[in-house]
Amino acid sequence: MTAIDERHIDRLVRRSLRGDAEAFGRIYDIYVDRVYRYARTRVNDPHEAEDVTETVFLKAFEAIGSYDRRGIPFGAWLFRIARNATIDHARRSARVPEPMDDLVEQMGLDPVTVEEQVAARLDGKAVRAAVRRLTDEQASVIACRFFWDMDIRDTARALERTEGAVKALQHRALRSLARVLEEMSEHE
Amino acid sequence: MSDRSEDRPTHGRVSVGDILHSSDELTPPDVKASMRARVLASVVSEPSRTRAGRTHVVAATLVTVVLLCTAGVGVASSRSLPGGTFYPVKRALEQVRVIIAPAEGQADVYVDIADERIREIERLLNMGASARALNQAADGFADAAKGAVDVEVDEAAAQRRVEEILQHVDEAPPAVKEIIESALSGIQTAPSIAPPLSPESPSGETGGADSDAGGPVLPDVPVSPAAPLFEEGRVPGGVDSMSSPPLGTPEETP
Repeated sequence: MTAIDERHIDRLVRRSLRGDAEAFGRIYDIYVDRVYRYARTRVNDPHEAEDVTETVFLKAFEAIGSYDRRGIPFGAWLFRIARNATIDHARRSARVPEPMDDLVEQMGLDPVTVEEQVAARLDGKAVRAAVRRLTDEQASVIACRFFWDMDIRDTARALERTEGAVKALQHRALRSLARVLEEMSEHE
Repeated sequence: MSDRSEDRPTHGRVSVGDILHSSDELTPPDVKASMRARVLASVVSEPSRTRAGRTHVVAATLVTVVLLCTAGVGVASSRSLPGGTFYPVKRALEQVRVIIAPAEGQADVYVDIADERIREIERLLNMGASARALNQAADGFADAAKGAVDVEVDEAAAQRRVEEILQHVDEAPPAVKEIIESALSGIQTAPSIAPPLSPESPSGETGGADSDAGGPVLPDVPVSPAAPLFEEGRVPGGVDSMSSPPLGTPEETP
C-alpha cells in the first residue's frame, strides 16, 4: 500500500469538515484497503467484514467533527474506530476461534513442504487465518505495524498503550505467528 | 523502518514480518466501489453532521443576533443573568461561538462558557436570586463542562479537561462550589467529573414554586445581601483565573 501523506490527509479532513463529500471519498480511497484487511483478520466472513468496514467509515464521518489534528494522527484515530467496530461485531456475533484442525483443512496445504516452500505459498488467506489466532491486542499491533505501516509511536497512540508495550506485543505476536505457521506445516 | 528489527522470529529462513508485509490483500474492486457509493450517499444526506451543515443552521441565528447587536442588545446581554430579559441572547451567542470554533478550539470555548456560569452563580448568590435562577446557571455549568470533555478525542486529553474544570471550581467561593458540585453529581459522565457530595449537603427542596426546572436540588445557601461574598462585579482571583492555560499537544497516550 502507498505511504500516507499526513498533510494531504489533514487537507482532506478540513475539506470534509466543510461538507466536501468528495474529500471524504478520497479519505475512504486511501484507507479502505487497510480497514478491510484489518477487518478480515478479526471477522471470518468476508461479507461481514465488508459490513464492518462500511460501518467504520460511517462512524468516522459521524465523529470527524470532533477529530483533533493535534491529538493523534488520523490513521491512528481511524484505527481506534476500526478496532472498536470489530470488537462490537465480535460481541454481537459471539464468534468462537476456529480450531486448529479445521484451519489446516481450509489451508489445503501441500503435504510435501520445506520451509521456504511453505513461506512462498502463504497468501493473504493463510496470513489472515494465522493473525486471527492472535489475541485482539496482538492482532491490532500487527495490523497497525504491518498492514497500516504505522510506526511504533502512532501505533501506541492508536492502541492507547506505551511504546514499550507495543514493542512487547509485537514481539509476542510475531513469535505466536511463527509458531502457528510451523504448526500448520507440521500437519502436512 | 529500522524499528521493525524486532521481527527476528522467523519461519524457516523467511522473516514473519516480511511475510506479513508481502501478503497484501486488497478489497475486491466491486466491493470497494459499491461501499464507496453507500458511504458517500450517507455523507451527502447528513450535512448537519459537518460544520458546513451546522453553519447553514447558524446563519439564520447569526442574522438575528447581528440585528439584536445593532440595537445594543448583544452588548447588554453579556452581563445578563438567568431570569434576565436578554439572557437567552447571551446563551445563543455562546452557542454560536461553539459552532464556529475550529475543532481544536471547541473545548476551550466550552471551558470559557463554564467559567461564565461560575461568575453568574457568584453574582446570583450576591443578589439573593431565586433557586430557579441558580439552578439554570448550575445546569449550564454542567452542560458546558460535559461539552468540554466530550469534544476531546482521547481519554488523556479528556482527563486533562476534567482536571482543568475542577481546578476552576476549586478556585470559586465555597457557596458557589457547593452549588456546582451538586450540579456535577447529577450528570452522567466519567466518574472523575462527579465528585461525591459532601455529607453536609442537605437534600430537601429549596422551594416548591422555584424548583420545577428539573435540575439538581440546591442546598439551602445562606444569602446575605448586606454582606456580599465579594465586591459586585469582581471575581476572586481576577480575570486571569478564568482564562484557560495554554494547551500543549499531547505527545503520548498513557
